Amino acid sequence: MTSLLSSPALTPQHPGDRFSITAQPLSLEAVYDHADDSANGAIVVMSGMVRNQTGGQSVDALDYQAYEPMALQVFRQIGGEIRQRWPGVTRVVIHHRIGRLTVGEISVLVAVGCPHRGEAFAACQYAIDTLKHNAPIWKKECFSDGSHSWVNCC
Amino acid sequence: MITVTVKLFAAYQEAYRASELTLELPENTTVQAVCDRLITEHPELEPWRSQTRYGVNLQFVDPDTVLGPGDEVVLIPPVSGG
Repeated sequence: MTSLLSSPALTPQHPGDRFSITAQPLSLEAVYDHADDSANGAIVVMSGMVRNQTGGQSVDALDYQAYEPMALQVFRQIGGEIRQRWPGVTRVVIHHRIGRLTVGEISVLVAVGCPHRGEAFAACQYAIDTLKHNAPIWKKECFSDGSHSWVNCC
Repeated sequence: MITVTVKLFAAYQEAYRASELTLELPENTTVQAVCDRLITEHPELEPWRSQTRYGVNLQFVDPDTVLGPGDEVVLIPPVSGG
């Protein structure tokens, strides 16, 4: 059987882009460095982390899981769509963490480099909003009272 | 008959206590029919039926997509990345 990853239907990755899904802690510095480019006038970085409560219920941790090959495919599609909408974008970087994360730990980093800040803000927001809506990644909230539930919204 | 792999996540993975299944299916089976079969086997998954999206070979597809031999199917309950 042909590997899914060599399928011609998959979106190619732009050479300026970096996408990863990892169980290791995420590095703000690494993401920023990947977004750096001499054509940039601005880099916008979005950092998402585990909050201590949901709807007033105290949260201890979030358990993330991903269908990694399809999530990376969604990330590549996001990179492609961003370049169609904002052709000046130089770099799109998305690093997502999986596994058990406690309060305060970073779960996702998105960085977009552009000649001008307006496009950088818009493209970065598009990237995180689209990721939350489409990437096959799930989180389970582990509440302080011992209960847990799969999060049912983005 | 054809053989497909079904990747399970979140509530589906908990119901089956497995991260993937290998299923033998009649030809012309749709991806939605696979989901219906799993929910029949595990009725506790019923609340997710109307909210589940489908993927085949790493692409989102319509519920009436017909499966082929060796396809990798994924059932996608509401996602919550970020």
